[in-house]
Amino acid sequence: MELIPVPHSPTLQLLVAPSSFQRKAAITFIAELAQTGPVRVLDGGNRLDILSLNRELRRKDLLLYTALEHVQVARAFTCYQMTTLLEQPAPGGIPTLVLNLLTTFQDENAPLLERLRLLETSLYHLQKNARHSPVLLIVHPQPTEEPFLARIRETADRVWVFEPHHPAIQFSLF
Amino acid sequence: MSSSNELHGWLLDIYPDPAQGVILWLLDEDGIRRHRLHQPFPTAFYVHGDNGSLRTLWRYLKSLSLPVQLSRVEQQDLFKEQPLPVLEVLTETPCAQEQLFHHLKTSFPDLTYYNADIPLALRYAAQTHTFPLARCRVLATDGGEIEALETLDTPWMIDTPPVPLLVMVLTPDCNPDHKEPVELKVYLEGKHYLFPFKEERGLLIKLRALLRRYDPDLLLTVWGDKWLITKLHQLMEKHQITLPLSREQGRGVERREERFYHSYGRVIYRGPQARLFGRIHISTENTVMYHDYGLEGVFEMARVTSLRIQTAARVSPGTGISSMQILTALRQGVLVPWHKQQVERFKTAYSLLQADRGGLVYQPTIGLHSQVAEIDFISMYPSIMEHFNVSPETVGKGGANGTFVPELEMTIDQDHRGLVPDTLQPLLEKRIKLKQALAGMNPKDARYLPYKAQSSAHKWLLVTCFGYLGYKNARFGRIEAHEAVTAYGREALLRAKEAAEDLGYRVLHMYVDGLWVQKEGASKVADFQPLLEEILDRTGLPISLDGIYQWIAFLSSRPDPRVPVANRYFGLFQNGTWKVRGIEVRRDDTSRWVKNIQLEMLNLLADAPDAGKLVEQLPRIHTLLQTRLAALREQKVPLVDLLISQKLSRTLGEYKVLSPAARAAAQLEEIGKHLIPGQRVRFLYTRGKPGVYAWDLPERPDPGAININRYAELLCRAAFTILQPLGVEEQTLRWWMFTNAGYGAPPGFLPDSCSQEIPLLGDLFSPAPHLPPIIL
Repeated sequence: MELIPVPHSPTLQLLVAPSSFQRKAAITFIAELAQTGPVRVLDGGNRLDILSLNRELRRKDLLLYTALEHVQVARAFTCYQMTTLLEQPAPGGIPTLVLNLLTTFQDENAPLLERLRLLETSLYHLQKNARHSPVLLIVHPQPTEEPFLARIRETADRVWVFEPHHPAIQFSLF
Repeated sequence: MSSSNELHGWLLDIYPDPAQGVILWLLDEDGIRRHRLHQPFPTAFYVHGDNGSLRTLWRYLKSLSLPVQLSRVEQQDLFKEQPLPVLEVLTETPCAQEQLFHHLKTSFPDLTYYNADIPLALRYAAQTHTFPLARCRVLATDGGEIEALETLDTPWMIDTPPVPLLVMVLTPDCNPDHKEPVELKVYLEGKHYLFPFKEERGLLIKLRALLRRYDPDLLLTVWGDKWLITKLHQLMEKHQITLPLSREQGRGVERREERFYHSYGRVIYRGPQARLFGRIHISTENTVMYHDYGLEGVFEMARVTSLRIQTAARVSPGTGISSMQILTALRQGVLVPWHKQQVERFKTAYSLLQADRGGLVYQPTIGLHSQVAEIDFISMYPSIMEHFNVSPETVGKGGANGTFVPELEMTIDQDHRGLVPDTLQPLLEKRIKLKQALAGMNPKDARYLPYKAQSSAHKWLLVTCFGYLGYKNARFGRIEAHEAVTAYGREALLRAKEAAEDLGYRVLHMYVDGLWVQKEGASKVADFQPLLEEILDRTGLPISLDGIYQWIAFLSSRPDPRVPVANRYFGLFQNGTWKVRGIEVRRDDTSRWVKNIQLEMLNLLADAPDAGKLVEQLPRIHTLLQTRLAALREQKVPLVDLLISQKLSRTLGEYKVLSPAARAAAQLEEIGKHLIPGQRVRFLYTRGKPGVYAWDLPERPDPGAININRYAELLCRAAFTILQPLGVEEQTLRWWMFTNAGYGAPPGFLPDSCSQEIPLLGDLFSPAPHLPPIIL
């Protein structure tokens, strides 16, 4: 995780990771950013573990209340809500983390074409925000989300993909 | 108009018609005649967007040359301060409105649509105050066109005269999931008919004759949605004989596909549906909560939600409460959004920590307690919404008389009545009236069961209405309102606890909306009355005494007996009834055999005169367990009693490790029976691999293949749940059950009178090395 720089400059970055790593990464990034100033978190599907964030901030020996006040959170439960949230411009320079964007696009009540249309709208606003603020998307894609993920990859300025470590097989001598 | 055109009767069904607008079926007050009525029903929806987009839409609609009226109007969006300028699109019929909206939402997806997908029954109810089974007075022309309609009662009356519905019951002789039924059983007007399925033509002709002769108002089927209606259709096509399933001529059956969806982390399955026109079809296996409230509950659900009876039977209580909110909005002239787009306001992580807490739980004091009163807030969360005016549009607004939500940096507007409290108020009032009536009613009273069913229907609606405030697809939901309700709930429970302690009561447990309290010498209803009054005074919320337990056992966690588990207990009320939560007998995946034995154990405990004498029942329980285990080993337990029923949580391909339910589903898949997530699969545990046998396979399993040890272990766990509070250790129970150990207990554990009568196994508490291990 140390290899991925904390987003400070205006770019649109994408981190694709399994859920366990992704949860840890999200908490680490938010805690890092909250040390230095405000950070905006758009939480798709209510996955942000606020108690873990609290613990992480306490471990960093910060002024806990100030750090918690730095983190601005809003949750989206549907792709419509996520799109509406993304339409709200980030105040200049404040980094934005978008967690589990794709979860909100797995809504069985919205037809696929409609979801793809909303994704395009969301990506447009993400790019617009990334022109003046750092934006990091953290996703944990399911197999059914591939068409959505492919489109996000095309849009992102930089993509980080977590690849599990496979230890080399040591052959026995005999 | 002549007087012969004035009709009195009950509204049976309502649906749209492409030519005539809306069709209504009225059951005449003579109980014999049914009237098909119709009425033109121009239907509007609204579109909002920037001026340019609306102008484009206007031109587009004009170019289609459809019979629609367009106008710019102002309407109220619930979440906006000022009325919203919108384009009103008025179509001639509800069918035309539906078609046009489906076309526009794909052609103009960026626009915001209001009042676009509202069921006709709700639109009609909003205008005319009708509801299913409402008593109506109608003035109609000779051709059946409605000129005037008046509703003579309201859904909120509790003593409405019974509607003389003619019901035809249709049931195949076995579960079609298991094997092909042989006969169709028909019950009608006290008569009973049997039609063999192999005589296909004869079955159709006889059934058609019955439908024509009696013209029933309601078809009550078993496996109707899933199998019977489809089967009848296949036979109709094969023999070219049409059954008048729908009362409306020329209208067949409206079909809806099966589906599944996720709700609160659970997979919910909704079976296929077959709805009729002019005649009501209720398929018991596909009717939500039918096992709980039956037909009377279904009717009540339809009355209070205004949805068609067939719809109300098949939708979740969440959809029911949502429909009630839509109806309130329509009557108040508030726009109903197609999609919820209202988002959570940004809040700091600190505020989120404060707000996102849910209900308050105070861990119980583990063990047996006697003379304990359970005190519950009546419909706590709905009462909070109603009492404190919590609604999505009132939270976060101050107003002149705004109130602060406890713990949260949030105010609630008290100057304007919220849409949600307005919706809930009559429902809460009716529920309280019913509860009061039931409290003093003899269960043999003819009104008792209908009241219970109605009250149960209300309970599910009220339980869901809180969740719907935060539900992602609720049109009038807002997470802040959801958080405000739980904050008020926590505050109320804390105040109740303080009141109890101030009056000298000991609080044993608190769970969201209830308290379990005890006080030396307090054992009668009157002893707890001052506490109820004090809590009402301190919280402003209605509260009632649920009952006084002779004794109650709060259970510990299985892995660590020192850790209590909230909401896992069993207790015997003074009136001899049980309240049981979180134990095997309440679980859906417990076999009937285990459930029955656990109930038998509880009933044996109920024979003890007081909590101090419970251990005297241990010898009888020991005998019971040995007897039931012996029956299991001798294959005397019917296989159906050993069935386990579990839900599939995902598709078979998505399982990394196949659970027993998935293995059973795989067996069914092999013979072409496909199950989808949310569906239940029934199976038996068997010896060897794959370890399960799907019950809905065509052949019955060999009783000798049943995994006796597995079932014995399940029984042991269920028995331990009951015996643990009596001081019985798990290892002791295992000796009692799985070895030839007789009943015994350590010195001093049992009363002398009891110990002397029972032969003790001397070495029970220092296990002999030769005891055989339990193989599972």
